[in-house]
Amino acid sequence: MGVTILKHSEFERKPLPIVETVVTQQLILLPLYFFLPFWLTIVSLVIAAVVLRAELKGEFTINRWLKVALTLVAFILVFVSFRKISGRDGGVGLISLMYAFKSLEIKKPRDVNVILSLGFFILLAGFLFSQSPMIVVYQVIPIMMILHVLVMLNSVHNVHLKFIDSRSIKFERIKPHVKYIFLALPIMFVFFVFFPRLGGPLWSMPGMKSAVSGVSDTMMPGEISDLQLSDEIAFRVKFNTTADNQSSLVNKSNMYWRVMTMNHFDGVGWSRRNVKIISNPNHQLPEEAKVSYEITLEATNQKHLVALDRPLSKVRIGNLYEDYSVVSAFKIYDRIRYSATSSPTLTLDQIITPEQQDFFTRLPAEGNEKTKEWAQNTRQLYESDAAFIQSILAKINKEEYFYSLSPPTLDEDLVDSFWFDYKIGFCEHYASTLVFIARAAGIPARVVVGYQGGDKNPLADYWIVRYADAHAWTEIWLQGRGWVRVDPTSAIAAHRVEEVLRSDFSFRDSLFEDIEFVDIDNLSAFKQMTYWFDNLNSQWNDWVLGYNRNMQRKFFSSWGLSGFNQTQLIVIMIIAVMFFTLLSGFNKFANRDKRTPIAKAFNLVCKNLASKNIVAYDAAIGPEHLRQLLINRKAHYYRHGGKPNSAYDAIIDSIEQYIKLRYSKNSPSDDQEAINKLIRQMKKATSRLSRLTE
Amino acid sequence: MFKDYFVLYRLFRRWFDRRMPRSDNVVLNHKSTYIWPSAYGYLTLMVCIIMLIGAINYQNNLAFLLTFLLIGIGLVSLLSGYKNLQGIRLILNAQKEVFESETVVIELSLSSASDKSHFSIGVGESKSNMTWCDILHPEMTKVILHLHCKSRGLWSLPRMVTMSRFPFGWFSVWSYFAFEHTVLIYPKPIEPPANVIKGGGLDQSDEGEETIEGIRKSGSEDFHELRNYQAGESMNRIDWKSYAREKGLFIREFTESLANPLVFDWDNFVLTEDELKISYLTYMVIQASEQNMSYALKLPGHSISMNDGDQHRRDCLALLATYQLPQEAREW
Repeated sequence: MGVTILKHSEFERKPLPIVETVVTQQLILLPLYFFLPFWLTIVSLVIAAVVLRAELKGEFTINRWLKVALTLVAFILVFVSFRKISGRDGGVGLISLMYAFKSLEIKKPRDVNVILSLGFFILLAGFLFSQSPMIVVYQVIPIMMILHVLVMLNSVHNVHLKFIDSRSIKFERIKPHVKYIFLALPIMFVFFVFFPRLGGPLWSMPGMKSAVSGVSDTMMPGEISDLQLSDEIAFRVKFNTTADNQSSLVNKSNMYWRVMTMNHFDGVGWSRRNVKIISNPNHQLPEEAKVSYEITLEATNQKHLVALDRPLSKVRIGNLYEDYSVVSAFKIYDRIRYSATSSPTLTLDQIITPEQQDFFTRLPAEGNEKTKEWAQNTRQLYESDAAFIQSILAKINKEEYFYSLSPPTLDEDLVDSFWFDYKIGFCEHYASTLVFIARAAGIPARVVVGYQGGDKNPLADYWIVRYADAHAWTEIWLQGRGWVRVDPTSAIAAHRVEEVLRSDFSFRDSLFEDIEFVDIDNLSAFKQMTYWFDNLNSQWNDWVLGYNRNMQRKFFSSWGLSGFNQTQLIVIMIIAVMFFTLLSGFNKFANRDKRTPIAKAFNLVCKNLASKNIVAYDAAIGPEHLRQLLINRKAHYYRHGGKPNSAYDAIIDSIEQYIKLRYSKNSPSDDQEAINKLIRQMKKATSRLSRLTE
Repeated sequence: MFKDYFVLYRLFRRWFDRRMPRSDNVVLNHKSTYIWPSAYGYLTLMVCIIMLIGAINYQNNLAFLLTFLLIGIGLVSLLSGYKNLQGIRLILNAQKEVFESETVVIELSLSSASDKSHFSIGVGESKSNMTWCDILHPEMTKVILHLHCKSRGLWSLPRMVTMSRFPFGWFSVWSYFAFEHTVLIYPKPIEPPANVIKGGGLDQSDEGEETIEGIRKSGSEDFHELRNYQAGESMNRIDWKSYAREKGLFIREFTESLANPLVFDWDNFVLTEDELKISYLTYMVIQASEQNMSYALKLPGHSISMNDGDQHRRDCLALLATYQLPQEAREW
C-alpha cells in the first residue's frame, strides 16, 4: 500500500466527492418522499440526475438554462401546491426542495459541507411525519453516509466507495463510522434521559395538527381512545380571574371542557341533531361564580369551539347553542384565540318541554333488549331518578368494570355486550351506556364530549390541554335540578379524574395483564411475530416516543434521583457526558491495534532486542536500520572475542526475510504460510538471543 | 501601558515555548496540542442548535435522539481528532548539504509512537502551507518540506506546525514543535567572472602569480590537458580563459596530484563585495573537491591548510558559511 503525500494545494483542491454527496442527499430525502407531494420527488430526482450526469461526463458546470428552467418549474409548483407556505407540509416541502436544489451548486468543499450538515436537519424533519421504529433503523444509513463523505473530504488517501463492485464495499471501509456512532450512543442516551423536558412547546406551528382534528361531530366507538394516544396540544387556556377565585371554582378534577352534546343514538354511535342557536341567556349569577378565560385553540378543521363547562354566553367567533355548546360559523383551519366566560355551577333547563322529554329518551326500537329490560326493572327498585343513577355509578364502582384504552371488539349489541359481558371500556363506552340505561328507564339524558383536565405550564401562567385529554361524559336531566353532569368513568377510574393518566402507561398495562391472556405456545409463527412486533411497537411508544416530563420524573425516582433538583440533574448529565466522551478516547476503544501479525512480530523482536540492550528501542526503527545495527553489533561481538554464536545470524536472517516479504516488489505478502513460518522463526531467533547477554 | 502588554506577551511566549517539544526526535503530546472548531464545526453546531430547538418545540423524542446523537458524534470526533495528532513521532533526517537559496529542502520521517495510525496529518512551516500525509502504523512516512531560509550560517529550523482536521473537519487540531537541530547553510556558490580576479584585465593574467589562472599556470601538472569541448559536457569544466582568448571551448582535465597546490585566497578578488567573494570562494571549493584536488583556503584571520577529502571540504565550506557572522551563529 503506497502512502499518499499531498502538497497543500493538492489537498485543498482535491476532487470533490460529488457522486457520493448526491447519493447521500437522496438517501437523506428518501423518507420524506413518502409524505411530500409527488411532483417534489420528481423534481428532486431530476436535479440529482442532472448533477450526476454532469459529473460523470466530467463537465464542471451545469447548463445555466437547465438550472433556470428547473428553478422556475419548482417555483410554479410550490406556488400552486402550497398556496400558503406555513405549517408542517408546506414548510418541510419547501426546505426539502431548496435542499435538493443546493446540489446544483456544488463547487467548493464548503458546498458539500453545507449539504451534509443540513442533512441532519432534513433527517429530523422526517420525524415530523413518521415516528415508527423502521424510520429510525433506516436513518442509520444516511447518517453513516454523511460521516463517510465527511471523512472523504478530510482524507489524504482516496476512500471512494464503489457502488458497483460489491467486493470493494468492505466492512473495513465503514467500520470507522460505525465506531463513531457506537461511541456516541452512550452520550446520546445520557442526554436523552437527563435533558429537561418542557410541559409544552415553546411555540406552536400552525397546521401542526393536520393529522389530528380533535373531537368530531359524531362519536363512534374507539374514536376518542384514538385521540387519547395523541400527545399533541388541543388548546391552551389562560384564566383572567384571580388565582383564588379560579382555584375555588376550577381545579384539575372538575375542569370539564365542553365541546358539544350528542343526543341521537343509532345503535352504534352517537350524533348531534336538531340543536338551535340561542340568544345570550340572562343568568343572574354573582361575580364569584363566573370564570373568565382566554382560549387559544389549535386548528381543528371543524366548527366546534371549546369552552369550560358551562359557558354563559356566545363568544366573538361562535354562537351559543341550546345544548350550551359554542359553535363557530366556519371551520377552524388556523390557530385562533377567543375569550369566554363560564360558570361551573350554572343550572341548565330546569324545565323541559314534553317534546324535549320525548327527544332525550328516544332509543332505537330494536337492539340491546337485555339492557333496556334491565334498566326498566332496576328503575322500579328506586324511588327517584337520582337514586337510580347513583346506584348505577355504585355498580360500576363496585363491580369488575375496567377501564382500558384498547377494549376488545364488542358484539353486535354493543351496550349489552359491554354492560353484561366484557365490562372493559373507555370513557365513551361508559358515557354511552349510562345514557342508554337512563333513556331506557325514561330519564332524559345526553352524551357530552370534550376534554377533561389539563396541565399547567410550570413556566407560565396558562394551562395546556391535549388531545390525550379528550373525554366523554353524560348529562342527566333531573326534576328540579335541570341537566346534571354525571361522569360514569370517574366512578371506575377515579385516577382518571384526579390525575391525567395520559402518560401513565403502566397503569393501563397492569389492567391488560389481568384480562388479556394469550397462550404464546399455541400461536402460529406469523401470529407470534405479529405479537412480538406489536409488543416492540408498544414498548417503542412507551419508552421512546412517550418519554416525557412525567416519565422522566418517574424514571429518576426509580433510580433514587428524586432528591435532586433540575440544576443538579443537569450537572449529573454533563458529568456523565464528559465521562463517556473521555471513555471514547481510550485507545482500547478508539484505536485497536490494526497491525498485521507479522508487523506485531517484528515489533516484538525490536522490543526484545531492546530489553536485552542489544539495540536501543525506538518505535520508529526500520527493519533495514535494525539489520545494520545487528551486523555492527555482531562484528563488535566477534572483535571482542565472543564465542561463535549462530543466534546473530538467525535473527539477521529472519529480518532479511522480513524485509523481503514486506517490502520487495512482487512480494508474496498474502502467502499466509510463509508469513506464519517467518513469525515462528522470528520468535525462535529472539529467544535464542537471550544467551548473548549472559 | 505598552510595557505591560510586552510583559504579558513575554509570559505567553515563555508558556508557549515551554509547552512546545524541542528535539530532533519530537513526539507530539497533549501539552502542545491545541484544538478549536473549524468553520464547518460552527456550521454543524448551528444546525445542532436549530435541531434542538425544533426537538424541544415539537416535543419529538426521535428528534431529540437524532440531535443528541449528532452532539455525541461531535464530542467523540473532538476527542478522536485530538488523539489523532498525539503520539506522532517526527524525526529530522540527516541533511544533505544545504546551500543558500530561496528554499531549503528538509526531510522528515513521521511515524507513530503510540501504536496506532494517524490520518490526514499536515506538516509545515505555517498552516497555510503544509504537506499532507497519513501515518499508517507501523510504517514510516517520509515527507519533504520546502522551507524558506534567510542566509548562510548556522540556521535553527523554524518553529513548525502539524495539524489535522480528521475525521469530519469539524475541529482543527494543531501542534507546534521545533527541532533542536541546526542546519549549516553554505553560501550560495557563484562562478567568478574572470574580471573580478586581482589584476583585473585578462592580459595580466599570465603574469599574475596569485590569480586563479596563475595558480593553474604555475603548477603545470595542474591540469592534465585541454581537450575539445563536446556538447553536453559540464560547463563547469570549461576553460574560460581559453574561451576568452577566442581559442574555442576547451575542457580542463585536472590531474589527481599537484606539485603546486591550489590556494583559494580572499585577497585574490578585488573590487567585490564580501558576500560575493564568499560565494566565489565557495564555488571554487566545490569545483576543486568535485575534481578531487587538494586545495587550501585563506580568509583574513582564518586559513585552512592544504588537504583534500570530504572532511576538508566540509571544514572549508563551514568556514565560508560562518565567516564574518556574529559569534553565536558560528557555534557549530
